Amino acid sequence: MGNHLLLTILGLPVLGTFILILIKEEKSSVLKTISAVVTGLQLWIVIQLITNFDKSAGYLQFVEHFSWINLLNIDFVIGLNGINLLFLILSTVIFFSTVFISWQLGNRQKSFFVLMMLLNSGITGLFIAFDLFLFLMFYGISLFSMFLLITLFTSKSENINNGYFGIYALISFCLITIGILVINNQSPLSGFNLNALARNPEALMNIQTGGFFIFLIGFLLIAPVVPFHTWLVPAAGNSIASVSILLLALFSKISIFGILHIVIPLFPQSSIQFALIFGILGLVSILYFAFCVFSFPQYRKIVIYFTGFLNAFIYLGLSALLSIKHQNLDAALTGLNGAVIQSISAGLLIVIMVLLPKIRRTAQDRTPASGSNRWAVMFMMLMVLLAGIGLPGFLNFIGQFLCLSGAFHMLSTRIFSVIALLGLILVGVQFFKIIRSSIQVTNEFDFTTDLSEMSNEVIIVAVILIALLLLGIFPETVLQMIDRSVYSLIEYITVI
Amino acid sequence: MNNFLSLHYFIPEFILLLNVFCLFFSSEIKQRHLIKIRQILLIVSVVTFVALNLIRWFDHPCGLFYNSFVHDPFSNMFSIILLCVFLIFELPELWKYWSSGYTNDLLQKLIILTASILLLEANSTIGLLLCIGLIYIGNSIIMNRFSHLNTDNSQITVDLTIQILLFGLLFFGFSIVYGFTGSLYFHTAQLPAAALLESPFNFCFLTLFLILGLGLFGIILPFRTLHEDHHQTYHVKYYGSSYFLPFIALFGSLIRILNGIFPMIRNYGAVPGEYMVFVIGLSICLIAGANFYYFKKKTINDLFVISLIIHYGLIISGLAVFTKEALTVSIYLIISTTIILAGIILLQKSDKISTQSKLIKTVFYLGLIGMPGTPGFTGRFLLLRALYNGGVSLWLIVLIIISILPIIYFYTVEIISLHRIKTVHPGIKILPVPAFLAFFTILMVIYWEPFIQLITKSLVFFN
Repeated sequence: MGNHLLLTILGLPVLGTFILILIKEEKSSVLKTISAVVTGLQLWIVIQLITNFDKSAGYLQFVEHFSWINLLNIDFVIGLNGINLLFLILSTVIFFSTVFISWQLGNRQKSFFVLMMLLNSGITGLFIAFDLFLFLMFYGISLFSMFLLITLFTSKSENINNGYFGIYALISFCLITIGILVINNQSPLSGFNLNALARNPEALMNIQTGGFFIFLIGFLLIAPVVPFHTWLVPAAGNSIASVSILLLALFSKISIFGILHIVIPLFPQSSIQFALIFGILGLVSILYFAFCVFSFPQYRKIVIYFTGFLNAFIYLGLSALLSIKHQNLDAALTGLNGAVIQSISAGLLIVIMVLLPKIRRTAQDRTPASGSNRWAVMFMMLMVLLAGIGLPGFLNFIGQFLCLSGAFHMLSTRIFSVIALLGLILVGVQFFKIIRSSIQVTNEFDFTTDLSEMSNEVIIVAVILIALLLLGIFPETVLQMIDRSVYSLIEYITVI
Repeated sequence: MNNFLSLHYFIPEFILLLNVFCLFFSSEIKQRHLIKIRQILLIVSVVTFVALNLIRWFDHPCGLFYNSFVHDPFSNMFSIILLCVFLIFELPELWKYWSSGYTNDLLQKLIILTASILLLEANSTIGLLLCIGLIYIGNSIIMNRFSHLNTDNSQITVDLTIQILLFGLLFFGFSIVYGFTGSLYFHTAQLPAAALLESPFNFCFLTLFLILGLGLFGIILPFRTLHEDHHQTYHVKYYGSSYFLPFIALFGSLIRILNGIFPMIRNYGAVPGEYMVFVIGLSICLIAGANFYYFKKKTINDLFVISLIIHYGLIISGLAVFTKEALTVSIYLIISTTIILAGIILLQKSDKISTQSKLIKTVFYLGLIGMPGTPGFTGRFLLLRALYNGGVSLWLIVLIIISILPIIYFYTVEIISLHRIKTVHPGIKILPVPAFLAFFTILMVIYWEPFIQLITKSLVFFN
């Protein structure tokens, strides 16, 4: 297995899906155990990948390359660089956590675990695919399984609202398909190999602007970014906690991964030329979502808008690409590093934020007789909220700081960084209110959510909090992992 | 030259015809041993048909009766497809025939099968119209047999009138072909490229007649059979091989005629822009029309009908560029759609939903949605790629994609409601044919490259 780690990590959920389909619905413990084993094995493989990953290399590692469909020159190419690895870690951790969070899920357990495993296959494949056709396949699987998860695990009366997500996802898939068709048609290279296309920049020179916007809009449609965010609240607001976690913490990162994985390498000229768009999108989203976080008293909505708020920093970080125009590579490196780190930290942070109401209930339920136990849970709750604000010492702070710092280097985006701080203040004020409400147990905020489905939340929150804290104190661990890959990407763009 | 020497190539068709005659003349026979002989003859015929067609699949094309009928890899491939479709739908009927020796409408269905196969081999206008006539008559008899199940007999009259009208349209279309080319044979009816470019609108007009004449079978008849029909038995019985066989055969025939008239496969790039836009426009209108129809009537039967029409719309868009690549994908798509819809129709016979049938239905629905990992996705992606590579503008491709979005949504809603239905566990037998079709659907994706290569290799016409 050592030589085929990526193939195994991709094959496990695919196999898991088929096995789960064959198991009867009544055998819920078997369903859960298989899901836990599959995601646990994936986590173990990810640890193997991290240990064997050469941080000093900017090139692709663990590459598996097979000729797949000779007729169309489609290859089965999967591989890892620092950026992909971080996203893969995020997805594995979230899927593993979700299995345990959903341990007490009431009805339709089989549907949930099958769809979750299908989504796992889609997202894992998506994060390691280096062939556009392969990427498209996994992208479609991810979109469809996410849509079914949202629709099946929400109240029936809200289904009409979930249609928004379906429509956005459909259009996004169509745009990406069109984009891939255009690339295949316009490029003199027959085939869909991402690396081969990226190594021949002149191949896509005549479709730089068109291709850039097709892919960008395609990815933005499923991103929680203003003005494409209208699906966000209906989709995440009514679904169960596990689905909300998958959607907000993981699925919302697909778009940013798509931009880093496809848009920037294939359309470098346009990415630099239109980098200001990233900045504008980021700033508008930061302000809009911060204002929403500030004005809503329902905790659930606050978390949803907070996801958009955290994601918006990633786009602000991407606007640092503009500095490549002025040969300021360090600024671009800072911005892109920030964007990647913010993606990961936002994902992990959202998992614990969604679980907070259960933690709060646990803290309230503990009697004073249990002594320190209660305070430990209360402390954990406070730490979650402080991590949300971006307290120095957490990874979230590093991500936001690097994104703002990357954007600050250029005169045109400097003002964005300054204004974005206003959003941080608004969110900070609201979070302090939540902290006060949680400690004093007031009714200022509505924490109503279905808590019956959540389980094992204290352990999961504790582990993620510790991870965020450790990575925040020693950010070098993450930065070393991605630095070479991000640098190679910037170097490549600069050459072009 | 009367190429009588190639007669042995048509043995499969002759033995099928022999079966028809046997069934017809011995319908009153009650002796057990004679019935047994008749049954064995049918099995031997089917086996011989498959064996001979497989052995001679890629043999050199040859003609018969002054090239009125031809035998080439193209017709061979479609003959095998047609026989498979026949077996898929009529397996219960054949089983009944084998066990009791009695069948209601096997004779008519065999006539339709034989006529459909001959239709694919027809290389002249006369031969083609004869075969279409045979199909229509066979269909009319079947419709008539089921007329007693309907409270409203006027439906049968409307169906028959439509068939006559389609026949008229075709006749008119072939008159234009003859006017243009001066030949009744398709392989000699090649138009000079200059004429094609000079008067593209005439060709659009001609194609319209051909597509409507040959294709309306796939568009209007399903509506007619389901629209006013409230009796489940009627449409389930009718909407089987007797519908799908002519549908596929007429499409194959359309490719043969167009290949003969437009020398496009030979001269890539000779497709005039007007013709291309016209066919794509027709296809988009068809798809959009079907979607609007479903908005009005939201029954599950209507959904199956419109999905067939929408896929037909996609399939004919492949004729817009008329390249080998596009034709191959169109044929791949028609095969996958037929298999999926056949599976759904066979599953519809059961009112109760078991866990297994739910799973199989989901596989089929995902195929119609075009979910990655199903032939629906592969077919559509390859088709769009073929159209784009064939010179269709990106805007038209975007329009095609937009037009198929509603059906994706409709089927997604259907999947969701399917999974909300409570399943029935005990006593529900899983139909083996739909299960096999679901397996085959998955196989078509895993091994789609060999499938595509086989179809491409079979695109050799008699010349």
